[in-house]
Amino acid sequence: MDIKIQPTVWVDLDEMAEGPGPYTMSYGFNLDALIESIRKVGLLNPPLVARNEKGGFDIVAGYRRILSLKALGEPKALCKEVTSVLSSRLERLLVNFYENVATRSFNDIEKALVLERLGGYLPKEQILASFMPLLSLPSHEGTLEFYLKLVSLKECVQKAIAQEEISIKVAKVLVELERGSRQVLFDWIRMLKLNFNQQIKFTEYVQDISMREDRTIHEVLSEESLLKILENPRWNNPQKAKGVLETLRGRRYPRLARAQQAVESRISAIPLPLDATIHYDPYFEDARYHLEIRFRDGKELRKTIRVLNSLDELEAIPDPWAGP
Amino acid sequence: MNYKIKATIVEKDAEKYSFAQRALEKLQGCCPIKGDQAVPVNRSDEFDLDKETLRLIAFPGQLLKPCPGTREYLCCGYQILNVGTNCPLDCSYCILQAYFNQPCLRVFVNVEQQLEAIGKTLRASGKNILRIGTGEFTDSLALDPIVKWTKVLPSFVGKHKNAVLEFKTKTVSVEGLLSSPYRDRIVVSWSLNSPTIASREEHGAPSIKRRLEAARACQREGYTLGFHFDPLIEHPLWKEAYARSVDLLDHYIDPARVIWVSLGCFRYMPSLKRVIRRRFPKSHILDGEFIPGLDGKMRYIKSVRSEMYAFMKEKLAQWGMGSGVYLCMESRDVWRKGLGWSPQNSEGLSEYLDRRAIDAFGLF
Repeated sequence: MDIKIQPTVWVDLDEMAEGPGPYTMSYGFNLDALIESIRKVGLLNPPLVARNEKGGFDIVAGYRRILSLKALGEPKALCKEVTSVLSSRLERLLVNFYENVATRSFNDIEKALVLERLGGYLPKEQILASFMPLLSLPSHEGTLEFYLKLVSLKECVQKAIAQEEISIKVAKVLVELERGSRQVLFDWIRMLKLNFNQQIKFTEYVQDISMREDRTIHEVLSEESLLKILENPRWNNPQKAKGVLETLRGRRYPRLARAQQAVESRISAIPLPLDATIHYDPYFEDARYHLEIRFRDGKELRKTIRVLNSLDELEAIPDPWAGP
Repeated sequence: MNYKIKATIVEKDAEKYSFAQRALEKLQGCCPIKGDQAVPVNRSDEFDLDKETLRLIAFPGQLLKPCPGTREYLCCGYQILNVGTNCPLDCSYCILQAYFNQPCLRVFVNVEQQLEAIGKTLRASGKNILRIGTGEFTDSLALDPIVKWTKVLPSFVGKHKNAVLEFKTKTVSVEGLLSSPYRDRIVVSWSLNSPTIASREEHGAPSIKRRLEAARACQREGYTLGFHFDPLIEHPLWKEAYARSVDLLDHYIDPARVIWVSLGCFRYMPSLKRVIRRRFPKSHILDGEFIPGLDGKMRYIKSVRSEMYAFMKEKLAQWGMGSGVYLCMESRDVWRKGLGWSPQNSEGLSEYLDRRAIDAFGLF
């Protein structure tokens, strides 16, 4: 098989189906740079196409190039027709895969698409052993199952994962949930524009509360205290995100949150010099406090120590882990 | 109690060992498959632990190893005799679900051959006591009706005056022990919990009452007993529930011949949470307030742990265990808060338990 020597043909772009077709694996991409490139220097590498049963063409490689040409209003594209040289569907799929894997990294939805499509032709063992490492994934059945589940998620969720708006750790939670709960969680994450760490905490708190109280995720998130935060006109989005997380945390870890508040309020009541800070282990596992002093020279250090030494309030610092 | 074994796989070189032969004889209805002919386990469901397949394996590594412990918490200096991994019981909280990446019940059939090397270790230890247990990576007695560990291990311990062997179980499979002539330096211990946790979370395990009936039978036959309330799990009305278990202890067991009772609050590797959620979606053991401990495991906040320990200490003292109660993998400050005293360090805890063994068995 030598694709390079295949003749080029002009293909009417109307003959191309709108979607990626059965072979291409690009998802959640931005075409702007490619459109600009084609506008400036033209199409350098012709896409590969193959005749389908309906008489039209399927794209074997070059889906984004075809879309860019369409966006530029081109009526035709110069392509290489590989119908006879790549006679099987698997061969076409593999050409697309190897062309992409050698030149770029796949996003997680693209990886899911690759694995799903290969699964139609190859045994699971081969996919695990040969293809998952090429996708920088561990050859682990659980990982394969997870990626296959990603393909069945709603378009909006898939897009958010592909564009790395949703953490893959959170995606692992989402795929295990029933559709309604998944959508509610997803909507909140997007609405609050949570970063990855916040997403993980948010899903964990909500799921834990839901399990503990035998209530649905929707019911947990319909609580008035949370809705009030969302409706607060004086708060911007990051403030709302923080408020929601704090509220959920207080619900999930009531004793821990109360203990932390108690210690913090006692520490904040101490008139510490500005250059001194008292730290404590937020989980109280370390039974000790830590004192941090910032100073420019020895004189400044001695001055701060003198002030600290004169503070009677220091004696009132409680055992940090006594609990509320 | 015989647990259901549907398939037996005999790994390379395992068949020649007497442990394997005994097991195969016992499992006559269950046609053994050679390891190289076994169909690879279907791992499409990573949460299926395949507890109905028994793999007989000649383990190539050392079988006796010290409990890994952690520097951050006090460890009792236990020695683990690794006779197998995984367990036919299916406790929702079991750490083994996330600890081993291989399914099936695995029995290491070359234990007998390794005893010689273990004997050397014991002899080299002089008068240092080695408290050895087989119940860390599997239940010590669940598979005993098939494998018959109790036919071999007690007689081995009998020959080594500084060895104390603990069989740790949740089962009532004590026939092997009751028919064994050895009693010296053998501790038979039961893992206990509240009746609520036992019925909801310890799937396949006998009730607390049945466990204690088996314990009483062993005590009447001259065995020294131990008990382990580990994991203590915070649940609604936990005080009443754990008090009920101590009441049952009071009903069945004479505390004077109990060597030790350990307490340990539920703790888990973070990766276990997902496994529990998937395998036991109705379980409530994850409801508590868990924080990352200094060893990376999730633990209850200290105030909860110390309250649970203090409560159990009081109840156990009322029963008659004024001493011999210890904590598994806890910090000194929790010891002090929960039990009112603390060993200086792990060595101190180890010495304390060695002393219990010396007193119980009249060693040296």
